[in-house]
Amino acid sequence: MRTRNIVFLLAAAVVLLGVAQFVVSYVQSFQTVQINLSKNVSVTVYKSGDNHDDPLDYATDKPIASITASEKLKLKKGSYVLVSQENPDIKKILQGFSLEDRPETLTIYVQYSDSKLGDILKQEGGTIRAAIRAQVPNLQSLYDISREKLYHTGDWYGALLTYKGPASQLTNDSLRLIAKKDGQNWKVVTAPPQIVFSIELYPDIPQDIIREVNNFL
Amino acid sequence: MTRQGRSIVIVFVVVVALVVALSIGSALRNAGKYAVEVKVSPSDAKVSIDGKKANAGIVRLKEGTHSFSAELNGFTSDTKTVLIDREEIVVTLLPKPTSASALETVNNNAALQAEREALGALDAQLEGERINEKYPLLTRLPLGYNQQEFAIDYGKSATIKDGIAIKITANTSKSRQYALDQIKEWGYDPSDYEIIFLDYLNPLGRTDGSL
Repeated sequence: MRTRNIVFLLAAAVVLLGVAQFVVSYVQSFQTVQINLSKNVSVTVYKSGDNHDDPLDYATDKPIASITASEKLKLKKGSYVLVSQENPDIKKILQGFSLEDRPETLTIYVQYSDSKLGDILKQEGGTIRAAIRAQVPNLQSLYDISREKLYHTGDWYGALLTYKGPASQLTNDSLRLIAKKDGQNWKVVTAPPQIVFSIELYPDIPQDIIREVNNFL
Repeated sequence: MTRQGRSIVIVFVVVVALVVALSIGSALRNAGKYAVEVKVSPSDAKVSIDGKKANAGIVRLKEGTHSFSAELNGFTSDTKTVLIDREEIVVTLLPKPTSASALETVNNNAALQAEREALGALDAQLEGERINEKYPLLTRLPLGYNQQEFAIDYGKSATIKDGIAIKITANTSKSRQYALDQIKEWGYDPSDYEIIFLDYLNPLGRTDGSL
């Protein structure tokens, strides 16, 4: 075989291997993210901005996808920011996420604005307090509800209970309580109220609510 | 080109094409999988992963929870359920000898005993690392009783499978709050832990839900 043919074959082999490597690395440069949206939320996914110290910095000129219902996206590995549409009654959601070696799942809850949640609490507060007092014996006689707040779409309630029972250094800890609206009724989901809640023990309660209620002062 | 030359070209092209196809196939097949090292003693134990026969050594598995098992006649099988979510996880399987002949085999084989002891030590070390990774607060504990009249320790959780509970000994409301403040001061969120206040009797009921 002539030298020219051998050189040609070797060059072809190198090119083929290069193409193969490119195909493999291209396929592996993508990762999937499952975005779960609750009703009435639409979000846009942006590529992260240049300010790498700020995980919520995003490049507004680089919208990657806009989605209005739960969807699985296949994106290039890297950093992204998910932004919800603005609405006077709904809190703007800004959530950074990174896609690397493993698929990710993001669950985005609708969160009403603080003013809307405050309005709902004014209307429903009496009903909620009556429901939790009925479900937690001795609450009314031993504790005052010193702080309360509604979360998400007004379907979660957190409260700080301040001790008012007989003077005692041993049991006058403030306790916390979380309730959830189930249909038209409110149900205490952390019975009995406790000093501090564990995320591991209450996997059905959104983490952001547990963390905030645990920090009520 | 001669006939012999053409044959060489064809063989060469086929070989290169096969190598390319195999490397693409292998890379795609392993995409999204993690390398897991399975160590077993005795080495002739039959290993299975998710109920399917497998070999000890490096295996590649998809992210998720997988069941690993090793069986050998005369030994109690060892089964572990492990969450595979990153590279280089090591799974140790150590069936225990129960029959007289299995016990004799182990007791009369110094090399096997040494291997099993090393694997047992590795297992304990990995378990410790796993727990510390999941519950980084433990690296600060135990904290002995102090001037603010609290102590923080940990133990097995009674409610969370394979979980750890943080146990706070503190007689007064103030000292319990100090203990929580200490955890926050260390940079940990108490929400991430099951916290049991050993000396606290909740006026509104027990933590198991009874009132």
